[in-house]
Amino acid sequence: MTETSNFEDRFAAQLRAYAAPAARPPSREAVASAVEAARNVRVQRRLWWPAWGSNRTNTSAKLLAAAAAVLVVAVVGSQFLPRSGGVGVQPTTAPSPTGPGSSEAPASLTPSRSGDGSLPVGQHLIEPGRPHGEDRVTVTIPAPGWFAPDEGSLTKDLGGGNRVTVVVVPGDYYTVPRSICNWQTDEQKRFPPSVEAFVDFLAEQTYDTPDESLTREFSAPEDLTIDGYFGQRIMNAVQEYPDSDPSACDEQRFCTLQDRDGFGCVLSHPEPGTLDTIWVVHPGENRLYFLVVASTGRPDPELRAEMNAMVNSMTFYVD
Amino acid sequence: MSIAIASDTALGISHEERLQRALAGDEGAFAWIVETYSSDMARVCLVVVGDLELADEAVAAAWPIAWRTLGRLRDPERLRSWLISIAANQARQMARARRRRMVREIAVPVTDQPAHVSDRDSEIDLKNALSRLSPDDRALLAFRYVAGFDSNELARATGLSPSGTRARLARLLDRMRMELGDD
Repeated sequence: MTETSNFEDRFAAQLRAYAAPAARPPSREAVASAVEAARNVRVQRRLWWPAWGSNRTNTSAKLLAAAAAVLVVAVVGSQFLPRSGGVGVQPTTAPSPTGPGSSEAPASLTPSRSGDGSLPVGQHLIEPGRPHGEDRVTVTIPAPGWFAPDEGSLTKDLGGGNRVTVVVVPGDYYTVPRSICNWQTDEQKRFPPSVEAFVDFLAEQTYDTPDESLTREFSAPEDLTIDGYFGQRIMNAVQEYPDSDPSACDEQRFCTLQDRDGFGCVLSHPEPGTLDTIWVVHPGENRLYFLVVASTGRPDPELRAEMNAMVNSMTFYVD
Repeated sequence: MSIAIASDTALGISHEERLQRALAGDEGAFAWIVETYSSDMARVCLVVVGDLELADEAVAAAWPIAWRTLGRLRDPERLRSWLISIAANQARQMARARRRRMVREIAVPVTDQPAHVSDRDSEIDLKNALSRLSPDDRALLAFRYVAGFDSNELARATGLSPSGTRARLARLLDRMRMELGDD
């Protein structure tokens, strides 16, 4: 122990000495350049539910945002489904270990859906598919009525537009477009598995029209843990698009998140009026998980509780 | 501008007031932030990229990002670690890009090491040992031992849990001990 501490002290001193040449005041030119950069960018003054003060936000969006503020859930509309990747949802009968360090996925898997299409209450296994085919995520469905309409989504629809779905999207590197419209052609940024760097850039995404560029106005990132792993959550009550016709956009659609090559769209953009919440969780050194959260319609308290329980029940088994 | 900065410092203006001024577009506040934190940002970046010029480039690239997102910094006391994290992210990306272009560096073999190696030898050993780590691992070491981040700051900067960062640091220290021949 003492030996370890001694080495740590020596190493720390050595590393500080190694870094010392950089410990000098910035040049006058460097300061001027940084201040010039401040002049040239729009400093975002606030992000705590900035939509409250936005003239563009209508009353229903505010109500939706208010309802969402108390949610701790990950829900996504079916329009967010990954276009590729082969996500599969299967129930499992084996209890799973939880928390960081869990290294084995449940072994016992059984075929998926009950006769009426809804999934049985209990633990289910989500296989994220490519590019991480060996990853596993378990989720516990606490009540009847959830079904998997297609690969990768767990959905519950109470009617009247009140519909929710849970999707898990893994990645090591993803490409985030600056503009959700010109997502293949404008600036893109590829991210390592760093929650904060990813969330910061995602929150800066813009809608672009010939006349203006508006940010998506996410809430401030909120730290969280799922299955003991660090993550962050941001929310956005999706506004009416400045130009709701995506026909002029790349591939004639809006895109939030691209694949690692920057050409395919992994997450399409939600419809206006959707509460869009994105959880980014970091369950392994080389992996981020995106739980994209959205809800449409009037949130039902019981449904909220179910969603809450489902998200909190998630466990990650990263290959 | 420098006169205004000196005057502000003498008045003991708080971080929060600085940030408020910066958010209001006060260029003196921007300059104060740059002059106060550039050095710490550059030291961490130097460990990540191993090149002084690239470290300065990483710091320069961090400022536009910092200004764009300054309003999301909820706790003014986190300004230093937040800025360092942004700069380190830039440095990591530069390091990765450079690594893809470079022929793998051949480490200087350690033979017949004297009982008391010179500082220069130690620096070469350290540089070689660092070059064999990933940019993320170099950043973690720099966050902890150069910038002095605590476990919560490390968790925010790396995206790992506090316990995860402790475990990873312990592994890295073991590896450094072996690489540096410190038995």
